[in-house]
Amino acid sequence: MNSLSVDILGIGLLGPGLADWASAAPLLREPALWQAGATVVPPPQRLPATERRRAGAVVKASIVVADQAIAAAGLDPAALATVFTSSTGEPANCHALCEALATPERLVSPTRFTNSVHNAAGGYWHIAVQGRMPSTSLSAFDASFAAGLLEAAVQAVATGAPVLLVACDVPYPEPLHGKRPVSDVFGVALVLTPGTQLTLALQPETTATPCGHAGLDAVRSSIPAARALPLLQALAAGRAASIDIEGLPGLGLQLKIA
Amino acid sequence: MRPPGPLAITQHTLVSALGQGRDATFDAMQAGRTGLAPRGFETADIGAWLGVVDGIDTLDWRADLAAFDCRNNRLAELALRADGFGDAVRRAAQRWGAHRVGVFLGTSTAGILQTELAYRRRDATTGALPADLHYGETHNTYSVSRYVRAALGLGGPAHVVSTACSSSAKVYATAERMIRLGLVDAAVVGGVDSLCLTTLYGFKALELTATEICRPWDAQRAGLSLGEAAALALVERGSPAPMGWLLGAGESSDGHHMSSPHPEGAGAALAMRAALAQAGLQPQQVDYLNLHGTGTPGNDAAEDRAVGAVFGPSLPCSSTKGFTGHTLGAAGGVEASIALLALQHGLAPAGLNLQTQDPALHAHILREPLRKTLSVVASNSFGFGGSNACLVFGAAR
Amino acid sequence: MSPAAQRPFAAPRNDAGSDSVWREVHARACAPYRATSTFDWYFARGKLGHDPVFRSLLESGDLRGARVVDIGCGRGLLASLLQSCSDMHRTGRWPAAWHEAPAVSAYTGIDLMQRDLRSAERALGSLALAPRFVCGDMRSTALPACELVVLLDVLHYVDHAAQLGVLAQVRSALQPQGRLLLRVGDSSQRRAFGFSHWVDTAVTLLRRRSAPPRSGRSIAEWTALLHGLGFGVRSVPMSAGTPFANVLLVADLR
Repeated sequence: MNSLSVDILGIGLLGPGLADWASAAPLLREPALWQAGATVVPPPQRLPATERRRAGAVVKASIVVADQAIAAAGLDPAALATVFTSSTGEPANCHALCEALATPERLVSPTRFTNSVHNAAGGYWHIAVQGRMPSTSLSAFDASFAAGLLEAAVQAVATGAPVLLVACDVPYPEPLHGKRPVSDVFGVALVLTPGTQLTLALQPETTATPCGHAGLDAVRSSIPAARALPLLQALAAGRAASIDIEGLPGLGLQLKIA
Repeated sequence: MRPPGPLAITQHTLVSALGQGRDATFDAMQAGRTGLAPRGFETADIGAWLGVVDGIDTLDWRADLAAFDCRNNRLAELALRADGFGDAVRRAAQRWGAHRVGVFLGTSTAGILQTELAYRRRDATTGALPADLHYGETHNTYSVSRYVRAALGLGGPAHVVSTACSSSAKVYATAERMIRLGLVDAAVVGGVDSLCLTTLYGFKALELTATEICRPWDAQRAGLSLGEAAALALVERGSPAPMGWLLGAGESSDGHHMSSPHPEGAGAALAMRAALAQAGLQPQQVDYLNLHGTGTPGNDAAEDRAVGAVFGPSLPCSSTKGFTGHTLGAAGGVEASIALLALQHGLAPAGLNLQTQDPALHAHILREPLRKTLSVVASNSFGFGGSNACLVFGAAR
Repeated sequence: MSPAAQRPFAAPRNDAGSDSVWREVHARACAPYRATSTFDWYFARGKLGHDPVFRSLLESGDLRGARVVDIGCGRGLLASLLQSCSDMHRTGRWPAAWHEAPAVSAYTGIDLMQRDLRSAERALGSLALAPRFVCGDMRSTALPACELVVLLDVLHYVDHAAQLGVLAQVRSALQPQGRLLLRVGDSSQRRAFGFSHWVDTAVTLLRRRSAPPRSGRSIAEWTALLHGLGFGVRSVPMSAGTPFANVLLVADLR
């Protein structure tokens, strides 16, 4: 068997011209209505004020979309295991650390170091919700969304309990941006539970399903977490669909919505 | 839901400051010989003991994998060459099909050293990074799984887990679930983490590193000693002659603080209990526990409470970070291999560098190696940001 | 008067004495698998140690009936457990404080998984109980006449109509005063687990226009179903150590 099935209980979204799932869903149904524009990351209310100020973009955006999905699903956030996936992590910290290390003094800020860990978003979330359920933070480069979705679905089916998936990427500052261009902040969150609505299947690599709209496709191909867009379009439209998501070299992820 | 079952470990190996491969590691375990030394790394000397792997720079490198060349991937390559590990994986790929073998590895800093070095060679006018920095194949968090997958010609699902010190323990649980649900038939698990300036200066800035060798559980313990390592294992469905078994994996979060553990070790206790429950075992059925045991005042105190709450005071325990150093994203994998070696040889290693046990800590730390038949060994890995994992292993029989 | 007679309806206290009895039963029940394969031995040890239903059934004395049919028997763990109880009773090691040891004269295990049944036959073929293992689909396999049917965690694999069919067959196979032990998830409690309420907005994904029918039922639904078939029903919570809302239904033919 190489497939498994889940239900989606809640969705969170934040991206260019996409302020949240509720307002974005009609735009994804009718992409002519969507307007490109820089992602606006609101301050996440769930973080205490000091953390809200200090947290980097990936932590903030992750918590914003996680909160949307949790609210939509009507769940107790402390009761959910979590899967955080990101291709970029928090690159601003990485840049600052590398810059400091290239100077003779090599003064590294301890807070910046702590916040540079790949699981910073997950750590902050569990602290904010006082949640002791398991959490993972993973990465698969351009396939980070597919890998995260697969891991979250596997956990949900294996444990029989709901799982919160958060996928989030943010741009790199220069000079790293030159090596790894990511166009803007994009975050998506899904609450998954064992079910029948969405079937995931591993398959040989095929061409990824496009958004079918030039602007949205530009977002999809320039931000790894935005590989989720065709899936979100189908969910917004509430229609049965088959979507191929970018996986790893030689491997694709096919999603079927019932 | 399919209930979890035992998972066969067909092959495992590790490369650390103790040397390359299982035999070198076990010799050191038996002899009580540390791989830590007071030394610097690259251009950094933070006044600490480090566990450094030798032989990395002289390794020959495949031309078709040139973009992947960095210390972290070289460390991974050393592990692929140790104990015929890479060949064992290739055989599994032939048996099941390359697309049925997954790769799930842990790391904290991957190949960031490449970028650190590259920041010293930025273009004078534009500030651009040099052309020879291959970000995706070296620095990026996913790079080590990407390298192993490419080097072995594998085509199944893959990712990197980066939850600090629990990373390469959690991947065992990932692989067990994927195999149980039928998405893969085998997987390469474990972790690779190499020394870099971010790690050295970062831990120093947090004042978590000791200036002398680390002393887990000691009354005078003053912090951790950093190390680097690669530990790999091949887990496989229905393996005919496994070296050992994963009986249970438990995971939890602290939900407490980004760089200090919960003082009562509540999350840690949850993870240990969950692992025992999955294994269907009572605490008294565990013969030896490999502690996370970093040697920081905070970790050892919290872990001691958690271990006492779950197991009571008589379970033989030790931290092996006095042997290898704290290998961060590779620690879970290194200590899984050490647990398997303990089961295989009937020897639980001593806790090194322990002079006077802290009277406030009550765990039964081995002062000498314990030689007896071991049936069940557990291993703790607790990470920054509060991610906890406990693995329970059973003997091959 | 023996302790059991003094408190005839009380389950044994969960104390050290009870623990050591359970440990002996557990060790005996796992032992036959040790000889066949390490995987099977570790699996048996884990499952019998982890799943609360086995110990609970022994402590409650609810495993009663001469001829047992075990639907979804897997590797035959229940058969091995029954043999262990019988051995301990015969050699005077069954504690007086516990309910009577199950006295089973015949065991039939049915499962779809050929591989699991082969493991069962290899490990348990020479038990005095002489368990019989049948490879088949529960929707179509004929059930022998019996006094006890055990159905743990299998009905959710088939849809509602097939569930009714299986239960009707069970009803026919059971002799008067026969018993069905049915463990199911409480689908209404699954919602309650970690869930505070459903929010059904126009843009969330709760439209299930063409999804196949769910196979879960609430405990009230299961109970009504069993009443309709002529069973009296008692429920026992069975979630300890699991993230599910599991319930064991003890259904006796009236």
